[in-house]
Amino acid sequence: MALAIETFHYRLANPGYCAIPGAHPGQMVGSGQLFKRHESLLASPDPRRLDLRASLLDPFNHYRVKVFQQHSKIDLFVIADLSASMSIPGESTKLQIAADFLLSSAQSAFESGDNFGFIGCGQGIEKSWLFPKGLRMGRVQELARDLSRVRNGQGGNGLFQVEPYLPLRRSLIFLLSDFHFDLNRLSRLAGLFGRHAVVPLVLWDPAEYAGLPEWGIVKFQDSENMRTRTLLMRPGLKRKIIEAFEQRRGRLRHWFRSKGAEPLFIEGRYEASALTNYFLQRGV
Amino acid sequence: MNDIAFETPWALAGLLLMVLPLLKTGAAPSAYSWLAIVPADGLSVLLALFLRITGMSVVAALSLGLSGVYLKEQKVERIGRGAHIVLLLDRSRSMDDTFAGRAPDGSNESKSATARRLLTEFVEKRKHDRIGVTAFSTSPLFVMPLTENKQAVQAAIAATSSPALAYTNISKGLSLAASFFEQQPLTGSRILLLISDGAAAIDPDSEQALRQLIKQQQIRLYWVFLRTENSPGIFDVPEDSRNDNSDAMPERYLHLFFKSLNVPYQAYEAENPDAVQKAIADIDTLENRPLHYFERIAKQDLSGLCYRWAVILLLLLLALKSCEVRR
Repeated sequence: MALAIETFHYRLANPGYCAIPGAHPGQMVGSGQLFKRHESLLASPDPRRLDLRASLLDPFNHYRVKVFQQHSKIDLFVIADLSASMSIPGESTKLQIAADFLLSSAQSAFESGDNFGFIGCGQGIEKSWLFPKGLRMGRVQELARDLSRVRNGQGGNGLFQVEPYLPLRRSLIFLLSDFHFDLNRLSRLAGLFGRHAVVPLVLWDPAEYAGLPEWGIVKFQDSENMRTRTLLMRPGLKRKIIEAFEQRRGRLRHWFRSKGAEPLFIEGRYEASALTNYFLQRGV
Repeated sequence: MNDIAFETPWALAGLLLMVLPLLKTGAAPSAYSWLAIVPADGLSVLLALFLRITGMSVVAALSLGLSGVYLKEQKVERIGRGAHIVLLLDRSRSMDDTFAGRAPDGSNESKSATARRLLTEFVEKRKHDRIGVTAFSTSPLFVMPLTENKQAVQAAIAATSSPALAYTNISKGLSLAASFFEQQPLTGSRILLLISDGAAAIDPDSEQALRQLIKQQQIRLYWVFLRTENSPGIFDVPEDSRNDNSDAMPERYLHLFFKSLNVPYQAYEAENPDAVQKAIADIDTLENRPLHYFERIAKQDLSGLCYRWAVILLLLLLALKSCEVRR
């Protein structure tokens, strides 16, 4: 915790419509810098914003008042997959990256005054991994500490039960997982994508493909179904495994794009600038 | 499989441990998030299989080694050239004399010594024969049954060097020698080689029994008669017909008896060691028929082999273990 938490900037492509003022372009009319339209004095009775020139030019001789677009607050949720495959010890575990991201996103949300919520999904959804939207950084830090320590030996079915825990209003959702499951199962998440602005963050550990040895015998145990496989590593097989991961990357990207979301692959370590870049390239 | 036996069969319970390599291999696995993504690899499957089978083989070899597995005595069927030969040696006192009828004085060897020396050579030459040894004097002496063990036969022949005994009771010796062939497979030829320096009358009862026995056993008779100088020979016909009876000329009557048996019979009258050698060489060339026989192979201890394989496979596993990459 000694290191300063890196933050990133995020934005939504569609203006939000939360009544509470915030940092994001919204559909609400109110106090703001950005001119939206003219309204009649009756509709918005604020003589300070009276536009004399527009009033003179009005063919019906009505008073025209300038109204401005009010920036609104949005809800930001982080949904993390806590299945066994996420908690494999490694150079930097995926859950460590998730914890880093949790702090970073919470900090970013608080800096722009948005609501932040967290849902951790193990085999189901547990109370202890629920953080309803709010603005309490202390609780987030506790969660991040717990998150980097969790050692789960179970699957991640909770991920598919997450929808009822999300607000009805369009929110920005970061979906953290390694997505190491069948694409058919993934389609159970499709409902999420229409309602909310989802950013799938794919956490992969490069040690599982690029970091494999060229030669030697390795024995792997699947973290979820506990099956073991002995592999006789050689450059050809390593190349095949890397190709398999590349194919998987292509399929995931294709699937997410079909749902209108662009996945962000985080491999190795978390950098906040990657997210800033992501949001600069496209709005969600 | 019937030929395999164990010293300590309870150690075979160790074979149950063969399941251990199936349950657990020595390598500790490292966790992997999703093995389904790793493409199938035939060589790796083979390696995994090989590791398991090798582990099981090591356990099996060790427990077989502990149980002291061995191969039982085996009989291997072979076909050679030779015969079943029973040597019937005369052990009467006169055999210890020289051919001249005197006690051996160093320059001449006794008849029995000559017979021993030549028979030893004979046995040496006959590779595939089964040879039995018997002797007779006052009563028959059972020395060595039919065996393919040449060392034992040599020893049996050498054992006849002990001082000879009294008389010549040839009928009992013959029936003992002929009984050697009882319950033996009828293969090759059956030879009874009688070496004696004299004969004795055969009484009518035992004559009848012998006649039957020799016929039944299909025995071929060879008689090497070691004739002492100035003694009556086999083929001598007495001048005086009054002397022509079995008590006066037992050799001649034994010869006539053998001839009357209607079995292949050959008599050699040897008056010196060279003649004996010639007679034996003659038999050697005559009796070389195809012979069907079983060679015995002694019990073989296989536990050493098991341990050797266990060590080889363990070293192999150790080598593979050193190829393991830990993360």
